[in-house]
Amino acid sequence: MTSAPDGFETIVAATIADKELQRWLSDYQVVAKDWHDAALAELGDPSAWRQAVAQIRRHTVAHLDSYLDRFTANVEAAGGNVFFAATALEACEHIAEIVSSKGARRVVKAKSMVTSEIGLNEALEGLGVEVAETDLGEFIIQLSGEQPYHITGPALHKRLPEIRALFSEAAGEQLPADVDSLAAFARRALREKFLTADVGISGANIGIASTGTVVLVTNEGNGRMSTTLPRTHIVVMGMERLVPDWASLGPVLTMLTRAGTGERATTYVSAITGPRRDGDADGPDELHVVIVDNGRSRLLGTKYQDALTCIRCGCCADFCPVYRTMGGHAYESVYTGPIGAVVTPLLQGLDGHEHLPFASTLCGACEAECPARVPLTDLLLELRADVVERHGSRTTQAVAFRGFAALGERPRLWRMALAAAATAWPVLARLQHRLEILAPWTRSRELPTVARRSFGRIWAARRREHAEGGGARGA
Amino acid sequence: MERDAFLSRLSTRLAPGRPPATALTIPTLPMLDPEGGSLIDVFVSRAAEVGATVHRAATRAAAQRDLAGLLEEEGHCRIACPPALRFPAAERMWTPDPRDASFGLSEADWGIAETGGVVFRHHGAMGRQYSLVPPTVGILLAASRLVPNLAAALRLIEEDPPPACVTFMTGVSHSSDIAGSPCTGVHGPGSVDVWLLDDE
Repeated sequence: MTSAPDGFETIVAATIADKELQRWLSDYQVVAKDWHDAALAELGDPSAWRQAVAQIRRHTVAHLDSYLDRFTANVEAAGGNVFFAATALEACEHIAEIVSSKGARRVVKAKSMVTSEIGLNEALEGLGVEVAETDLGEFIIQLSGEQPYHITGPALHKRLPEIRALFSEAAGEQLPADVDSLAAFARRALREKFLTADVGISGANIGIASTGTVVLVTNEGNGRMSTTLPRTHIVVMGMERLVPDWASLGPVLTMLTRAGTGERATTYVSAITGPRRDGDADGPDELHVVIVDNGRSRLLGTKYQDALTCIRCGCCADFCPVYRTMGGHAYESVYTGPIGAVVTPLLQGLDGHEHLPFASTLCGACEAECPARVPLTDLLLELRADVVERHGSRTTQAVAFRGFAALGERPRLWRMALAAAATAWPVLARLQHRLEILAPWTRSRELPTVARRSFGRIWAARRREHAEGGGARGA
Repeated sequence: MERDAFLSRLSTRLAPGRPPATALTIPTLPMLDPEGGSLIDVFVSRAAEVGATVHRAATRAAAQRDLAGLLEEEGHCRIACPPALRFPAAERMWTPDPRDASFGLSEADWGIAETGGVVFRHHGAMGRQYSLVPPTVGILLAASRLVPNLAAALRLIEEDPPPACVTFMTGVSHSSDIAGSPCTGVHGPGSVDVWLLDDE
């Protein structure tokens, strides 16, 4: 396994040491699982729904070129504008150009992971534009200056006193400690931003190719506010986020909310097709859709193509024991949990991210629950193989595995080695944490116990006893 | 990057070994499919689960009387709605600007029993803000326009070219982002009343 960067090890150690956070994350996963399971059980056959979503998404990605072409034509037919951004820089520059052309000083943003991925906030703030995150969780981490902790719960790790302190500082006064008062503050503070923003920016949970429709899901209403009140609406969309038509929207939308947040439906689903039409009472005058590649196209036609079928529900993190233990910030990316361990090295390259595919027990809990049947464990294993191929095996590892293979092919030597290990075990067990050569393993693990008698010897003894006509059972 | 260059990169990568571009056939999936009276019962029950209150009204006029009573009881002084939904009892409270209103009134195109939510096709005077900006909203919905599930609603939407915005609204605005504790009325309305019109 490659060595993890110091930042990763520091974050993981701190998260493990924070017993309150460990309980918090554990409790969160218990509740999330209950909601998830109940919402899916209502469907009668969740497996059939997962299969349908997988079929829709794999089909769409396999024909992404033609669906993007169709989507674009339909956005433009509805009066919208489409820009294709090969890189994060291209996307940010184009959006900055739109914002500047409007003379905009304030932008409101609905939650959008791809905008965080491309560094949009920093690009706009560098131009002196105020960027107001309006999703409550994103608002909290914008105030604290942190990365999101979870795909659907960016401020999952924040406890009430911390949030009260952040909001009080923003308010310029000490706010009450109850949730309703803090929510009321956020509503007041952000309402003013919605009403005065020049531009609204959102992501797109799903794009419908057949009509050029952009679909957003939120529970708070910030998605609707950001895409209704400002005169200009900019959509930033990962290029893979399409479905062919409204019929295929159904299973994807259903599983996005039931698997992701344990709800039959989010409070608001906005399906936006172009800017306002002549005679419409409200809505933006302009709609711009920025389609982002930023490394996604490199996965097409490769063993990693299925990574693009993810619908960003976040439920993989809800079932992951590694996420529960090391927390969201350990991924050091906007994408957290098992899908983060896959897409971050794929989109950003292995440099600095080689450790992520190894930050998994490969238990498969994520894959079992994934509503799009993304083959997460296979993808993690492929990434591990890529890392090993990149560096070659370590000499000690290579020698160890060759030695293991040599013993395994020689039964007599194998039995002798086991007997020697069993003899040495009582001493080795006491000394394991003091032997430097074993430190990479024993720093966070115990050596596997060597049995006093091997299964082979027990089996052989029982067969002898049986052949001799019975005898005492047991080792 | 130019559109053709962007898309041709994708085509080049996808072409080897990809399946032919046949139309996608989605398998039939098990769905909630109540009928008649049970459709209404399911809608009412599920709307309540997401914080919306459903009132039954024999006629539109009865709904308007009921609504007028609620406006007075809750002390609303400004109501915003599309011109077609204005009614005499609330005339003195009417404002054209939803930002000015404590109550917004809209009419939904469909209701979805599976979720307890409603669907708006926003076009012309049927603006988006009436069901979004005021802290309390009312929604009129013809009982005949209840559909069993999301798939049924999507089929109806797809019959016509979509307007600039279609909104699916299911219950009240809410969040658990503050320390995992639920709160309502975060940005959208925290109070939603639906009048189900039995004669329409």
